[in-house]
Amino acid sequence: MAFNEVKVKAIDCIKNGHVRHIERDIGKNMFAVGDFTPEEMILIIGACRGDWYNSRKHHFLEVDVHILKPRGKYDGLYIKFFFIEPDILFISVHESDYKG
Amino acid sequence: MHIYKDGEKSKGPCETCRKLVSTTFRYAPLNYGGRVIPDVLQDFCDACGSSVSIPQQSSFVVREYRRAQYNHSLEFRIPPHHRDILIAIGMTHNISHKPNTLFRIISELYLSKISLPQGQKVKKKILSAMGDDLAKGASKSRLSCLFPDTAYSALRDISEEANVKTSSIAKGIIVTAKYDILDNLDKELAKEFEELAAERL
Ligand SMILES: [Zn+2]
Repeated sequence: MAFNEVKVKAIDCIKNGHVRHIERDIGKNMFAVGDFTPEEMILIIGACRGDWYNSRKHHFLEVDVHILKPRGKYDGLYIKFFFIEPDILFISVHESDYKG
Repeated sequence: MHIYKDGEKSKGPCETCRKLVSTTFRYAPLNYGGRVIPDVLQDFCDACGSSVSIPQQSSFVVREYRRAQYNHSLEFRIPPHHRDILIAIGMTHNISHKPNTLFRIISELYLSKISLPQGQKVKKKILSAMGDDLAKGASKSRLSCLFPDTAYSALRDISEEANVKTSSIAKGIIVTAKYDILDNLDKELAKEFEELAAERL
């Protein structure tokens, strides 16, 4: 999946409220615990560029895990998610210096 | 916004079964940060019963829980005239005459805005108020209050980001409130303050 496709799909899911957060990881997910609103996540993801993006295989699912490392206003944030139709599932939204 | 219901079916990655599984949504306690939040919608693995994910609607529940739990006990050292500012604000708006209570409400008002899109502006305002003449003076008075998780994490974020002490931020908030609320320069915010106070007291 090309980066722009990932971005559009992620924003669509958030707009439609098809959002879930991996329960095991909510301690490192600022979106899951309400530190970021859906509107803010749309702004953050919308501002991301292709060279701030990376992907890798999920550790047991046959899906790509998408990784964003925003710069600028949200520099230092680390965002990880994947898709299971029709939802976006967030693994992490945290500061990159997060330890734990 | 899509709203999931109790009993609704879905699928997701079960970390215990290590595969994609069928799941069912139900309300159950959620462990978060060493605490247990009751009645949070989650989907559970149909095979092993592990919790798989929480939908976005539950995020709002978690946030509200964190906002309503006053579990961070903090102390700030401030100049005595800051107590006077707090009391003056409380008396003018007919809210309270207790500096600790007033500071808790005022700081919650400002800190709750930090995570919103206009947060940067609020942050700048507080940081620049720390350089105001009114922020000066020997810190001979003490404020102690309980902060909810949300306000506490905003306070800690500003403190780390700007490399300033939390007491300095407290001073910045009080000086900002002096202009916004006591001098009524931000009528909308002054009104919000009264509404928040009515909710919290
Ligand atoms: Zn399972």
